[in-house]
Amino acid sequence: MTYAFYAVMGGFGVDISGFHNALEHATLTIHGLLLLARKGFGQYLDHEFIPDKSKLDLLAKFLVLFQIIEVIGNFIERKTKELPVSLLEYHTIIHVVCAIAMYLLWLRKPYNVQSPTILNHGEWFNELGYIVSSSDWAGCSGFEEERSKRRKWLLSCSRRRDPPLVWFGNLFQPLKVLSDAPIPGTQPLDRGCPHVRARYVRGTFPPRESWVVGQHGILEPPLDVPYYPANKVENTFVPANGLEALFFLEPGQSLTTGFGPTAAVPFADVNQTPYPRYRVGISHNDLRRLEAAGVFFREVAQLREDSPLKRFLINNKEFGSSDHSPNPFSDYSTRHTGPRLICHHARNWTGLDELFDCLDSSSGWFWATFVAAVSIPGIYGGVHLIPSLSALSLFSTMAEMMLWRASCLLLVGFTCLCLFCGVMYGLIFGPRSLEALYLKYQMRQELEMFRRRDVWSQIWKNLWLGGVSTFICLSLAARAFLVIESFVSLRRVPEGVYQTPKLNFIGWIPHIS
Amino acid sequence: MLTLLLVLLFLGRRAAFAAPFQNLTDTQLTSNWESGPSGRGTTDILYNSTCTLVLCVWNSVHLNIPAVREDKWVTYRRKIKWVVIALLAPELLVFTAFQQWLAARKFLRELKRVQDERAPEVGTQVIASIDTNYFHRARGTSHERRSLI
Repeated sequence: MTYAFYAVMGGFGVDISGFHNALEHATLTIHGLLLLARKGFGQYLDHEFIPDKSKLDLLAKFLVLFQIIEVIGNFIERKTKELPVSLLEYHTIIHVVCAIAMYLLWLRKPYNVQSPTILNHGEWFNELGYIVSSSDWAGCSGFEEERSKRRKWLLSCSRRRDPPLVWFGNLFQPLKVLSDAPIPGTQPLDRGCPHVRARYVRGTFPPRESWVVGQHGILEPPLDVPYYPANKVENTFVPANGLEALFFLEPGQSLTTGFGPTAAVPFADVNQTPYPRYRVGISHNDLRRLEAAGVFFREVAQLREDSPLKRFLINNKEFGSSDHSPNPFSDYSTRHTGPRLICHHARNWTGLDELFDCLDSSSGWFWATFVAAVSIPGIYGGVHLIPSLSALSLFSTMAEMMLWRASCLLLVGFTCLCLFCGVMYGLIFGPRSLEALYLKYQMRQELEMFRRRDVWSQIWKNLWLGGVSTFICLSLAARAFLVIESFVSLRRVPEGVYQTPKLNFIGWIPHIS
Repeated sequence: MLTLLLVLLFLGRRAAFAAPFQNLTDTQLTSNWESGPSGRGTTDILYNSTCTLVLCVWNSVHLNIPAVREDKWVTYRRKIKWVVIALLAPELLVFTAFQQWLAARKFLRELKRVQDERAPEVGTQVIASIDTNYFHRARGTSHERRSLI
């Protein structure tokens, strides 16, 4: 279990300096490790690695243990002797209980490790190429984006991501070249480049009725009609870190390894002409990565249908299968829309990714995770509510008590709302629908950069963001109030708080007092 | 560093309790047995609770491993950020811990399953070495379990 925790906390790093323009090292997630294990590289994950914990930590833990026993014992003793307990002590007890829960859950998690074990990827070069390509590297992208001015202000707040590249390697027929005329406003192609397979093509749109609606509402031109990419390029991605771009890939082109900018039109925006497209500057590192990934793809494509690795890649979602996840071998998507395989460093925050990873319906922990996710904050509010109902004399003024109650109710109320909405949604559409909803959301984020936004969608988005941030501010204020008030309330407390029980057993336990 | 501070605090308070005895003998007002004063003061509650809060919060936050060659200052700032979060919303950390525990459990089970599946494909040597390493780990971690409580 310590091993598993070490993997979860980002204990296995890899050197990706040959694969990524901006980063030197990255951390494999558990899903990346599992992919390697499926490919048969399990033994490389094995190291004598788990760092020693210092003796000082042990000592600190003993001190904390004594302190915890003293505080809880004191609380119980006072309660049995019917002596009042101050608000600060209530608050401390809640923290202590939380701390115990954390200790128990993190019992086997190594503490205070400062750097990951760097794995040697010599043997799984191609796999690493795929793993690095599968991430969009939001926040630490290997590309810099040059946008046209009009779209700059719309997207300036979003995090930089790598442009999506799609695998055309399993198209049975080569792309048809309609025209060699350059796209207006772009630089002419480097024709002599050996890496580029197909030239871009240009023409009018095929009739929309003939387009195939793929998963997630993406429109794909049918494969048997001539292939029409964009007629205007709006975004240009250049390699980050000032690396030199060897050549630019434009829509409709692909590398000899099969990767190229996507041809799909996101969200049926095709009636807008010209619709936005992107071109990607490819550096040495990108070329190396995509070539490795291409080898990996081809290798996997030749596997039997029932091999674990292929099943995993097709299902994409790690644990158990999901009907909603896109399939790299039918949708041509390199991107892993399921869980991430690699990240810069293992985040501490339980984001939506991790949450939905746990919420996977096949694991049997679906409802447990769901209830835990929404009810734990409610319990926090609810427990704080108890003293304001049972011991009114603890509060100095009426206003403070009302504020305390309001803060607690806010926290509880939010929980009830979430629980209610979630349960209703789950009951109506089935537990899996939540997962599908999330995948759709992920996909949307991915395609965000191509979306045209009209004024109304912008307004809706701002309203939504405003509502959420108001709520977050409110609950932050409520929490801060609970902490501050528990200290402030000590200025006036009932007489009994300062009495100690007659036989003060607990007082004999050594503690900081 | 924190631990040293703790030990000092621990001993420091004991020493403070011992001091009044010295004073008593100086003024010749001796008595055989004196039970401690009953009752407690505001400072007692404040001091005790604050110490417990800080201890629990600081010690219970188990952060993930930072990126390779990350600035020490960034790591430190991250710790402080999480301590503040733990102070305001301890239940959020409990949930994070729960999620990580669940993820670790799933990962271990899945890894074993994958290795079982691959067993016929690959030579059994690799699997055997992994298995024995698990046993090693299981034995090796018994002391870690103690130290983490």
